[in-house]
Amino acid sequence: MVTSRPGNRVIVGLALASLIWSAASVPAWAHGVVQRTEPAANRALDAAPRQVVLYFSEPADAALSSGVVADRDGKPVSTASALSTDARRMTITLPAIPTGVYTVRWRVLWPADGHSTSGFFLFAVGEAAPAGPSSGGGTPPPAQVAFRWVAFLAALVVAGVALFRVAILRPALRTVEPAAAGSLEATAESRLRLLTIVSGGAVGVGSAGEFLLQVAQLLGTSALHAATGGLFLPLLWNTRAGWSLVLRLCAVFLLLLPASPAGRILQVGGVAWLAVVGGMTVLFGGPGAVGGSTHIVLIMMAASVYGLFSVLTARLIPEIPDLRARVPQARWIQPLAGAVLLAAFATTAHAAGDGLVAAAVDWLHLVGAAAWIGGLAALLIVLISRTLPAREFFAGQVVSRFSLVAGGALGVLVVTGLLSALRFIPSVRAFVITPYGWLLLAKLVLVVPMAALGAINFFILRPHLARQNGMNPALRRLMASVTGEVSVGALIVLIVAALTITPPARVAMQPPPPEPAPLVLAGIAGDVRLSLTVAPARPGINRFTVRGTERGGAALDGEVRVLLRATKLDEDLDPVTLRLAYDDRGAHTVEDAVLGLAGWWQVEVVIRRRGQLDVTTLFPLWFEGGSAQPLDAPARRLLLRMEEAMARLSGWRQVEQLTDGRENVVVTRYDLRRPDRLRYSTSSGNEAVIVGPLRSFRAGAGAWERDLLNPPFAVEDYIRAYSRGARAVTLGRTMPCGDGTCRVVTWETGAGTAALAGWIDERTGRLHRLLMVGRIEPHYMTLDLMDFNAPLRIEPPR
Amino acid sequence: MRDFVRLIVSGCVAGALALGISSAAPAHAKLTKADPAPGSTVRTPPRVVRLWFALGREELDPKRSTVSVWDSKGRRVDDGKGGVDLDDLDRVTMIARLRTLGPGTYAVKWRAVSTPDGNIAQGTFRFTVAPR
Repeated sequence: MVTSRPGNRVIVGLALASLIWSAASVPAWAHGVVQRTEPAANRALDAAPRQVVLYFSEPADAALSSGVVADRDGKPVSTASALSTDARRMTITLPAIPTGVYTVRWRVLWPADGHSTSGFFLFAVGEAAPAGPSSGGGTPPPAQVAFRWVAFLAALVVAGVALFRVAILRPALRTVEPAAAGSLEATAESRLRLLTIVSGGAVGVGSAGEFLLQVAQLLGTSALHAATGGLFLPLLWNTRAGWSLVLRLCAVFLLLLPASPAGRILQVGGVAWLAVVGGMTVLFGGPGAVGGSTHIVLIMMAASVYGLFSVLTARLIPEIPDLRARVPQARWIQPLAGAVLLAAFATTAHAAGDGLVAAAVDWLHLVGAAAWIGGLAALLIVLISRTLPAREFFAGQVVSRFSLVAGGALGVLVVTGLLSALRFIPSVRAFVITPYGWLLLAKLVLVVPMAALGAINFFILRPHLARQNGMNPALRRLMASVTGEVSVGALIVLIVAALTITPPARVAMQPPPPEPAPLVLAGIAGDVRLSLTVAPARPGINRFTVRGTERGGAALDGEVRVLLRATKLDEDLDPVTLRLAYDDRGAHTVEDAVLGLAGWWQVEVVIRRRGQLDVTTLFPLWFEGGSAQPLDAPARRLLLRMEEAMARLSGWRQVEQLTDGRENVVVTRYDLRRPDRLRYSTSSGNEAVIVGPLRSFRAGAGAWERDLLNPPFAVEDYIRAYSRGARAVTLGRTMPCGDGTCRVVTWETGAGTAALAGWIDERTGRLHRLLMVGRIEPHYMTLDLMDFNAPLRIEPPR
Repeated sequence: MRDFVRLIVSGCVAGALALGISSAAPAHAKLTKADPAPGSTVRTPPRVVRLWFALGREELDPKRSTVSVWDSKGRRVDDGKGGVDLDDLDRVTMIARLRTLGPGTYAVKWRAVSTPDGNIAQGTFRFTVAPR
């Protein structure tokens, strides 16, 4: 029985196409994208920026991510690049750069899936906007993608073949009479072995090539340098992609071992070896901990010893006829190796960043795809032949079993595909809006006809074959249907191929981090009400702008000098004095003030007018993330001393300036007298008098209202309320205060709601100043305490 | 043991730093110019005495810096309100307004307190009024 030559060729061609389709099922990568940059791409700026900032959608690896700014000639001009503490922001610092067009080149390693991406964009200073291109950085170079597809496609085939052999071929052979079965098995096995070797080799070459290109891209060198350079091995052992490569090569090695007794011994030995090495790796803390450490040496030693033992056994045992016969068939090893190979691919997929369950769903998806596609490939290669004896019946058996498996695989694919889609597509809207959504939709649509053809095979043609044993037309119809299946599958190739390089909808639809609202601290300096705008209010380069009005209503103008004195409170550094320049628009500004360190700062605004003494006001600034080590014991002792000293006072006065960071300020004056009297009046006209549990208050000049406080007010507890449950207590610098010196102590409230810095007199233990920055609710407080033990009279109003 | 060594090392480093810092002399105010110039003779009696200082990055503290002018008999001849010139936004000048001066030799006593480091410098210079 002969099928037409052209038909054969068409079938083979489409078979190849279907195998390419398998590559389509590659889930997209788990890495992030660059969401926003400052300056934006292709912007023309008037003034040279002092830094370039990139915002990422996922955390990047701090050690292996970098950025550089180069001038028109490609010469680097930036000084350093660093990631923020949450690793989602990269800041590249620049010196003063002249006018010109600049290129920002960045490369990032994403820990979530071990992949790296790179990109670039342009900006101009003092020139017209550059019309040049910019790379979004979400697309890896084509060569890398091609290698990955080849590797993936081949992995599906080789895993599918292993499954086919066990689940379909063997049972089908058992239904054929033994005489024919022998030659059938021989032919089928030899073809499958050929397919296995070819695709196994392709997995190895493709995976290694992809990894090498990744390393080259990460290091910015050619592939040759990447392979021979010193960083290749560390990257191999230390990144997820590296371990995935190693695992894949081990699995391929197992799959390529022949089915001879020696081969089978080596297979069993290999599996045990993998289990031992894997167990040791897990014991030592996982691939990340093992990579590059001394544990690697231990593992390699154990591996080599064991490997040697296996090889020797494999060599010697088959020579002994008795033992040779007893070597187990171990048919389960090949499918197991196939499953491990697919798991290695799953570790570098998008889902890998989402946890074990997501990765397992991904792996099942791959298994389903392998069963279907790899099974199709095996099916075609086994059945396409003119000389296959007892072809029709055997074919019928194979096809019917395959259809069963394919049906099950389809079910698994649909379920796991839906689960993955749910995770990567945040809403139905995303299907319509994002490229990822469109592609996924198209893939889903095209799976339907494929499944339909498969259903035809299963429900209609299979029974035909079973009944019309040996009839040509049924087989031809079957092959046509399978071909149709395959050709539809080929279409899906292109679609899903694009899916792999498209950021998932979840990432694309994630809103970029909002522009941080500028911090506007408002305060009152003498007779001047002013506001200090800090942008972006982060450690590094900031712009300070001061606007103010005098009591008569006149705005601060160019005749007024505005100075800023910034003092780091938790470290002993020279204070920084900045002179602000008037910009003819009612504001005094200083552009590139460097408050380079995280931690506690106080910023004093000095308003200087001719013929008058300076008036000042003070603001706290706190940037999270300082490296100061809390000296718990001496700092706590000083804080305790302060609490005791304040509790011993008979009274004091204090002035509190409170701003919400959005240009609102209230200044309150307090008188306090032991044991339980307090009087305050605010700049917004409210006043109150508290005596124990009785509070009298009024807004403006209205009538006094009264209510009861529970618990009653006690002066003793007033200051203690700020320091109760303090944690991260740290000693800061010393500063002159009054007639003596104060030591700054910084701490956070027990609930973590605010950070505080207190000036404590080293001799008396009294608190002279308290600065507070709210961490959850934005508020900035400057509290100055004075007139300790002054005789104060506080009486409730009549 | 390691902690002990670390303590010793950081102590040495701190000590060296402290030495380094303390040896860097902070800026004391230096009188660079005065009008009338120190030791000079002027024909017409001046109405104000002005002093200019060099203070590095510091400024004159208006609350604690003083300047006074005395005649040869030890009587004060300025209006008592002399001090840092608040019309100078750089805060590096001092000014004293004088009564009508007769001929003779006068002494200008100045005391310059820097801010924010609080260093004090002081001095005296003389000038003569000799109308022809």
